[in-house]
Amino acid sequence: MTYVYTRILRRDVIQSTMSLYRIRYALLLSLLVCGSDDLAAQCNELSWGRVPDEHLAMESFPDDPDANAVVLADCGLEEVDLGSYEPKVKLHRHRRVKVLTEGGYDLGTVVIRFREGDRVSRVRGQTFVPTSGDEPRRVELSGDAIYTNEVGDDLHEVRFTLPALEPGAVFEYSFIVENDNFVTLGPWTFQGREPTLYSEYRASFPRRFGYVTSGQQIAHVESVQDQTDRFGENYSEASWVARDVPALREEPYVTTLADYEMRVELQLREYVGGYGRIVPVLSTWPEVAETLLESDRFGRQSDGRSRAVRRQVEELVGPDDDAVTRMEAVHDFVRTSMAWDGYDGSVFMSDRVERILENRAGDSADLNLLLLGLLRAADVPADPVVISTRPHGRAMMEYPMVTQFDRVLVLARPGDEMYLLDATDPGRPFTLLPVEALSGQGFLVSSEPQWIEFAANASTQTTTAVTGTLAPDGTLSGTLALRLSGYDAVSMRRELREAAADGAAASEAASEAAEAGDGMNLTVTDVRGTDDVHEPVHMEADLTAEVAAGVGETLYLDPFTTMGLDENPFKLQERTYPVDFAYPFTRTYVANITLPAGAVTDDLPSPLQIVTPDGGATYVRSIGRLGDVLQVQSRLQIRKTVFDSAEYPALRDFYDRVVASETEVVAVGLGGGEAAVPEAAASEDVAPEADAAETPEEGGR
Amino acid sequence: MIRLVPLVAVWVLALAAEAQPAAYGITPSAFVHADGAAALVRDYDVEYVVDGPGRATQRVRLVMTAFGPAGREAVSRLVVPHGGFRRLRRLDGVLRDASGEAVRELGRRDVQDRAITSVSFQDDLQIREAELPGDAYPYTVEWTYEVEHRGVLSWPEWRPQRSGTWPVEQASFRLSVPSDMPVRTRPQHLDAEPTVTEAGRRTTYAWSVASVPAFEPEPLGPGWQAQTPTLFLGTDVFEIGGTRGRADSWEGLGAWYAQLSEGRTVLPEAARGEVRAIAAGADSQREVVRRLYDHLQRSTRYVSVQLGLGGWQTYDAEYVFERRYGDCKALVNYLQAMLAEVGIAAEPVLIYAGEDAPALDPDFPRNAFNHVILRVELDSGEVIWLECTSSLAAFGHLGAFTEDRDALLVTAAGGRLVRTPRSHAADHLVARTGTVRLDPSGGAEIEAGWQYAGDPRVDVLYALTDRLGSDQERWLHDTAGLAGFDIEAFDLGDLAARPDTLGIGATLRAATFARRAGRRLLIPLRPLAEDVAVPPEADGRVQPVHLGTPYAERDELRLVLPEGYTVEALPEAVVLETAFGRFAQTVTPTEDGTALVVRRTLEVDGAALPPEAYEDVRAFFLAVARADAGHAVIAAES
Repeated sequence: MTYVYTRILRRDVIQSTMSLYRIRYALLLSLLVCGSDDLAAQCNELSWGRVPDEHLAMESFPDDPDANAVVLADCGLEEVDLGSYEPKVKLHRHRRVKVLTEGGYDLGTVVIRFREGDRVSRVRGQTFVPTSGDEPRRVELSGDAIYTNEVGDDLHEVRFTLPALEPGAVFEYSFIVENDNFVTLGPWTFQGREPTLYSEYRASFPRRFGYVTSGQQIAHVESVQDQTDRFGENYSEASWVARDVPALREEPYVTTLADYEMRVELQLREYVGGYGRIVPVLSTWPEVAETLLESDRFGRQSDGRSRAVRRQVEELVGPDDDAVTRMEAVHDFVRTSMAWDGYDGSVFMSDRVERILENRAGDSADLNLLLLGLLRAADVPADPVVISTRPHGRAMMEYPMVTQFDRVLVLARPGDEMYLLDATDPGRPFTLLPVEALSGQGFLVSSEPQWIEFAANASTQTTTAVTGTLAPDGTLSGTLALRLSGYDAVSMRRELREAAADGAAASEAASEAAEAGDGMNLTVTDVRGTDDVHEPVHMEADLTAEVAAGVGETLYLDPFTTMGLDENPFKLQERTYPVDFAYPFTRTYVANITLPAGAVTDDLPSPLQIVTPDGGATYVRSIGRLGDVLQVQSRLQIRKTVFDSAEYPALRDFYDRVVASETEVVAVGLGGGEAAVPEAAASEDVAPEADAAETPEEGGR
Repeated sequence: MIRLVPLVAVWVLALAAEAQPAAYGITPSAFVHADGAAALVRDYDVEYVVDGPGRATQRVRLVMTAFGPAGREAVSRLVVPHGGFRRLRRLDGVLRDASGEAVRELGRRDVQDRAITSVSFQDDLQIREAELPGDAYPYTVEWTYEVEHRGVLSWPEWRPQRSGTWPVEQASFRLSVPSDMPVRTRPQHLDAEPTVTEAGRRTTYAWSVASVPAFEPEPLGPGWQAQTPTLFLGTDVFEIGGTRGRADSWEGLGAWYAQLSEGRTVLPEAARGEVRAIAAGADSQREVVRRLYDHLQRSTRYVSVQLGLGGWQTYDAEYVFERRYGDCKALVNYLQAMLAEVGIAAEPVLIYAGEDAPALDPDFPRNAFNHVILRVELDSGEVIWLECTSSLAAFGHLGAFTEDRDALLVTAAGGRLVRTPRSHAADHLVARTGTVRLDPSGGAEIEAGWQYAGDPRVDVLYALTDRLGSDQERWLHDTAGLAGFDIEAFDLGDLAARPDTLGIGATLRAATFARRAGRRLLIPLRPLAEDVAVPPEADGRVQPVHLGTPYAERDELRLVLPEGYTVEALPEAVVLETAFGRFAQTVTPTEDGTALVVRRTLEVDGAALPPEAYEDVRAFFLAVARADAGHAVIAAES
């Protein structure tokens, strides 16, 4: 299904970045303007109903054997129309698609979502089916098969599906969307999950409207600027054309595909109002900052002057508290007393700060702007930082546009140290940002605005320690101790909270954190560090597990007691986009397994070290014997967070070797048979040699 | 969210509270009824007033208490379908705290109308969603609403536990009809007799229940619909969308459906030519049906549009021919029309589809269908069943969605019940073959083959047809059940031909296949498949055991040992025979000792068994899982 969203997420931007009154007033004073006619203009290579023979005859797309369809042409003509009292923006979209397989039918089902007050009109569509004769069979999208629905709060949709789809068919559709948001035009995306032969976006607007353009991955997009006269108004026309655009498809461990897609977007910088006066709308980063600071939904809600906010601060901080203590107290309050409703996506407050405080709930901007206000009221110097989260895609410093951001954080300076804060998770200390906020850069909104860079600063570690006794039937009984810090602690606290809410036991969360396999039973005996978020989470459990299977006189023992890594997370052989782990982490496993009396371990696996070429990922393992106790240790460390596609084979190979290491078993002789004893002696001689042979080979890749 | 209630509203609420003293405060008895459940139905009162065969009004009062977050959604969120033949006249809600005090009323901002587009592409039925969350547990929400029906197809079912499993303190249902209107009822797990009262030429039947414990689903149990208390109602005559029908017999229902479809089976001229061209040269009637079914699968797709009576009345054959899409009725009707063109009789069959669908009660005619399939009877007497909404289904195979159940055959004379065929284990087959060449490091080169028939075939076709190469690769990784591997060759065969038995082959290079143990290697016996699911431990089984769709697995694996290795230990042969399933596994060295051959067969019948069979079923699958998890041990010659 193709979803077309028409600037749904931008309403708050209009409200905040400029006053509509100002614009209307300015236009009334300007020259008389006439209504423009419909967007009769057509895109250069797409004319309704005229399908070239080679497109009808096309049977496959050799450049991309995975393609289920090919977008033959996709055109968007967007125009700022001064024809009525209020300026309108009309987008005329025309798209033509070749169906190659049944999997391509999806593109023929279209849903256009729009806000109350916007208008979708002139929807039409048709399908051409090649026949044995000269002329293709043409089937029109019938008017009674175009449906309009209400689908949510102020949200509507038009939906239709093209008729007569079959492999080989070509379909096209077009429609016009009108709305009154001329502050931004686009975004136009040249790329989709199927390949595109031709994609054209043209924006035309009165010269008096000065837009800035932001583009991503558009090095190979042709762009042309032109001017025309229309109804006495001097119009600018900017167009972008991309040809032979490859498909963009999902891969795991990618920040977001949006970071890699070709797209263009325009934002209004200024316009010329009555008497030739230039009215700035948005043009420089300092102005973006100023606009935000003056906004009713941003700066004014977080200046710390609200009486309710000050009263709240009085309850939270004492007169003798130092600045760091005050910061922590305020952060603790928002973190634990305010509920995040799970929504993200805006940097603006959804309501007045007093309401947010009273409701004890809000979206991420509500909570963090409240945090900002409370900090200021508590005399902790603090400023907002707006960022684009990882799922939302990288923000571009070149373009001063507030639409690039979807989350607000707080930079606090209680002393010489600076802290970047977010208070949306009750289980996360102020020293950690949410994973999705680890975008690396953000825009500091203050009287001295600037771009800042940041990274995950706390270490994330999980240590699993098993102590137990192995019975001759292969059952291990003992204890498990888990220690989690950093992001692992945050997710454990979340899981424990959710488990408690569902009435489930902590044992399940523990099993999951320990990655316990089948045959392990845990009874949690102690949990610490769930309330004090600055401490690691400690968990202790009694465990019984089937960790060994007997064959004859020998037990084959899994030294990782079902908790080893037994699957490579990187399955696919090739990769287009970088692997991004978001933050570095360490996983440590320690086991002390008391073997049955007289057990013989005749050839223990050798110590082993695996390292990727630049040391970005490392792994060590050792298995030894001290008296009756088998001692097992392993440590997996991901030290850097981004592995580009050229490094992917080495990373995948690294994990292959880790899996091989963690699935190795130890033969434990129970009978003390004749063969076992001399071999045990022999193995001591062999071990150092094997170590020397294996380590350079593993590490040298 | 706390909202200040305007003074007037407080006064009104206070009056209401007075009228119902201590209404729905949390009493000790509520805790007793809830018995640890996260939510409790305090009172669920439904009144259904019938004014005529096509007019009725439903008034509902539902009071539920949430004791914890797990009960929040059931208590705080109400979804009422409306639109089409239903008009929602009123929807109110009151939130009450633990003492029963009204805290808040449902406001305009708590209510949302939205189209239902998840089930059908387009439907004139909408939903109104209302949400009234409390901020401290326990809390109670009292919902009231009224729906007017202009057009009635069937009377509602009454389920005191609603669409689920909640315990009930008390619930009641009142059916009010003109006294001359016959009423048929069929209770299920419900021993309440109605009290009947007459007043002013109207008769009211009232049922009530109290203290219904929570329904706890059990593993491998039947669906909840068949197990929870329900009252089914049957009307004799109904009117909807300007049509009138009789529901007091299967014939009547069939005749009504047939009358709706009348005149809609006419093919346009172009379509008739198409059909004759496809059928030309076929050497049997069966072949003609096969070709036309194949044509339907390839040239049309399933798009469900349910508007007005369109929920029951098919779009005509021309609509489908022109647009090349339709819903189940329209596609069935279109194929029926195509078959008629070449003189082959076919009839639609109304059915309740779904793997867990409750069975039809043959003695209690009512409109209990959600799907249509086509039944073709050849001159030879052979009967062919066709699922028309799937482009992947094999010719003549129904599958778990519709097989083995009563359904209503719609004939020119009306209708009669028929039973859809039942499949056997061998019909749903997964077969795996493989040659594994091990190396001393534990890695291996694997030549593997998979074969699929029946329902597994459709699942695999669905997962692979028209997918990206990377998705197909991912499927292979999921299916092969190994730690990771490189793909050296991957042969999907001709998926587009959709053969009745699907064959897939691959050559894989796995870095980890056998587990190393010093100089020994532990070789897994069932590497190319996911693990068998073992039903969980469960005491005090009450419900029957349903084993679902039958299936069979056949594996044959040849493990070639690395040079210089000999067999040290092999698991013993396992043979299991039960009333519901059979399993055998053997591991045999080849004569020259250079390889091992693992043979494994598993057959599970789709049996319905008494509750006490659960332990046997669990023991069987446990034994299978143990055998599958076994290893052969080989060792380097020292």
